[in-house]
Amino acid sequence: MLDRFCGVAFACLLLACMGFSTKPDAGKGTLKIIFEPMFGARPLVLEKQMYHSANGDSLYIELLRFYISSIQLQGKNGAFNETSSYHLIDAEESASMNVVLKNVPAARYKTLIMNVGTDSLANVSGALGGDLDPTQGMYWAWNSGYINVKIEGRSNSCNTLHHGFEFHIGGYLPPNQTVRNVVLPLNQLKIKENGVTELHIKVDLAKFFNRIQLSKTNQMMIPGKQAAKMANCFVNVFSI
Amino acid sequence: MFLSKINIAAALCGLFFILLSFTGADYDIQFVVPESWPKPVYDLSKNPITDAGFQLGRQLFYDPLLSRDTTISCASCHLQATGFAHVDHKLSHGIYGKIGTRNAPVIMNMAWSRYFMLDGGVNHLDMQPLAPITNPLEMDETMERVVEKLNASPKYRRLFQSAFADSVATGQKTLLALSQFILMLNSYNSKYDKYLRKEPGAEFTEQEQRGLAIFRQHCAACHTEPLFTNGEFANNGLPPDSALMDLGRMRITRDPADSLKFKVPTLRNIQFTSPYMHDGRFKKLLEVVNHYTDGVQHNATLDARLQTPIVLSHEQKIDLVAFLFTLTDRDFLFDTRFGFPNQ
Repeated sequence: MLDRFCGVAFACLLLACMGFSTKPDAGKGTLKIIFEPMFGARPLVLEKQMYHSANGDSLYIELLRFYISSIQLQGKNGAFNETSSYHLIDAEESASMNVVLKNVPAARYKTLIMNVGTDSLANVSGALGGDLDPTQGMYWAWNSGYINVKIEGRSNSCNTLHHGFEFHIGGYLPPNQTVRNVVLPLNQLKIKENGVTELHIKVDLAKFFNRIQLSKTNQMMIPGKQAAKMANCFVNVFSI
Repeated sequence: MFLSKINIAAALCGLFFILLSFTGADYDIQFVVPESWPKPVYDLSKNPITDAGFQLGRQLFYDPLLSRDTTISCASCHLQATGFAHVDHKLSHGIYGKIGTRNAPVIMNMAWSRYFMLDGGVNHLDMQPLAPITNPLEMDETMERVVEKLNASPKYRRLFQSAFADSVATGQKTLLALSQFILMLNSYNSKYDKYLRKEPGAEFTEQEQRGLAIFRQHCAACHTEPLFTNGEFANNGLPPDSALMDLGRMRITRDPADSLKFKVPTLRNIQFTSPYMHDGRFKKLLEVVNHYTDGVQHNATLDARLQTPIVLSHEQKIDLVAFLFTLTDRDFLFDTRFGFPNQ
């Protein structure tokens, strides 16, 4: 008897769920953000391509990973807020460079606002999953907190082991927090109802390396004042 | 009419499942906040302790799979019978016989701790196991490889399935399960606790009462009851070891005001947690007491409470140690739920 009641209840629940999921979201569309790592005008090639900074450093880039979180869109007739969402962008993983925002109100948008890095909440909430899972290698074990940006490579300017440079930029405690807010103009980007709009965001590392001198600055592994300065350098790489 | 029938059916289903989950318990795994204790720091609603989660955490705690060469488990340096400290070893051990830089601390009443590690570098219990797992002088492993090894093990696939209704191990789930086990390692049934609860047979001797009075006068400001720690960082006047040159809390905050400060440890089960201090320099409790009366080194960051020397007669020192022995909790040290798991 109980079995039959359960069956009926589950069937109804299932139907109800299906009803909700198939119902189209009126007036909503999808925004696909594509992050494009570059060095100057050209797409970034890891390891094989030598680049030259405005400061005279010749360098190879071997790794680029960073977090993007809390993406917001603002326009006259629409607004969109992504809450508690963290995206790990990895230049080695092409899939990671696409961030898809669903159920964005169909409207024209003037600005995109996003965090580069993770907010303090993510840093004090214990074990988290998905892109924040500690298996991602973006977490400091000895001094709790996420590494918000990792850039590694080599340059003859660096008097280090194998001429390597390693920038692990992180830290959430004031006054040296390393999360940065970026505001990008969207030029009335249109999100179409039931459509997919693509938006390309350039990540130009030349704008980072033009701000540092690799002979002097080539290792960053701990939170602090220097990390906060490096975060200020990195935030400039984003443009539409 | 149709709708109300469904509601009743759904309610019956719910009840049925609740009953099932209660009767499925092999162990009594229930987190307890002892009477008059403060509210735990750990938010248990974010990681509710279940039998299956606790058992998975227990398997992980005792499994050398967590280390790079599968030789060292958490329990290698945290033994239950000694309050989950590393008896007879001044500094923690790692793979290939490597020696760490600090004395492995006890594990108990962790739900009430805000910071972890002797320098407080870890800000959440969930993240604590990452420190020994990734330290090159301890387990020297990455979480990525730990999770790979767990996913390759049919035993762990089963345990993750029953703990999280999903057989795939992740870093998050591994850490949450370890937390569930560690959160249960609570000591609150020592003679001292029973004495406070006025339980028959737990009356203090005159010596223990004198020791308690001495303790409350000279020690309780930092080793605050009922946890026997105030959870803060303090410089207790130990001359820094010239080989280790461990600056403690300053390593994390890089603030010279934090130089030589270490997390105040609990004193519960101290009878069995030798050696003492962050570098394990003292073997006997009397040596510890003698440090506070005669050995305190005055330097810039010495705790204000130790500026005036503590004066105790030899008899008073013995009374104090007699009281410290009342903090031994045999129920905890020999609780079979926390021991090496049967396969």
